[in-house]
Amino acid sequence: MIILDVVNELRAALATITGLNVPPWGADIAKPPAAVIAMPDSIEFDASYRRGRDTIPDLQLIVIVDYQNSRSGFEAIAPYLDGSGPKSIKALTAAKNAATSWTSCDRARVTSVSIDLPTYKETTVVSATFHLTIIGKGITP
Amino acid sequence: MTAIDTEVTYCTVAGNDISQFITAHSLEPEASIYDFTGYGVTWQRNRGGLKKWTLHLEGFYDDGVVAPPSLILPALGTLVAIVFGPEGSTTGKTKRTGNAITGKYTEAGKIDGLQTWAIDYTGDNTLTDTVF
Repeated sequence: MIILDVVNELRAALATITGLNVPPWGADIAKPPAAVIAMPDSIEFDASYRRGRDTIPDLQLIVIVDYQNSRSGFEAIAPYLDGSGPKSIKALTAAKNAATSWTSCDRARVTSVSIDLPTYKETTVVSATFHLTIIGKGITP
Repeated sequence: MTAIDTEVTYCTVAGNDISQFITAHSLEPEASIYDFTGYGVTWQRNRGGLKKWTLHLEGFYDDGVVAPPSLILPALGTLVAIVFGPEGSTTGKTKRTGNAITGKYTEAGKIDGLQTWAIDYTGDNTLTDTVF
């Protein structure tokens, strides 16, 4: 599993969501609404014998939207939190899992999401941090 | 002497390398033990009898054609060739070979996790211990 390939494939999938900005990995600036992918906290090797599978147990994907006021901010972030729908992050990854269409990994599954109101570039935004478990081949053919 | 982990462990079934789908194994050769204790003794006497072996494999469910379950399930009840290399498959490493009946196959899963498979093989005749 090549981490940069995983990130770029995730970014390409996110870019199919209408109106969602997907800056390059590690970019300093992201214009809301935007999806950015964090560095993995850890990678677990050897989930199966002979370098068969490796795992990223918690890859965080953060969606930020503008926070003008509670109502607009909450309404803007909600479609990304939904379990289904055109902006649903969960539905996006679940569809690729169902189609087994990932090429950089086997599965990328959203396990949970947490919501916050952090300050970003000196303004308050609504952020949703999606936690993904990634599993893929230990040795990429 | 060197401790060996499963990063290198090698296994083929009917000539197909399924090592990368395996997450656990148990190879168990054993001999029957017969009690032949007679009168007038205080300690039991035993003799070794016939030998047999079993191999248990388990791992992640994979949808590949040369992966469990596609490879194993159609072979239920049939004899397959097993090659097992606990130390890997490079020249000079331990190689255990034999033919075994494909016995109990299990698929399992639960919410928030990957699906798994498991298979129990029962050896038919010798388990040969050589080197690659």
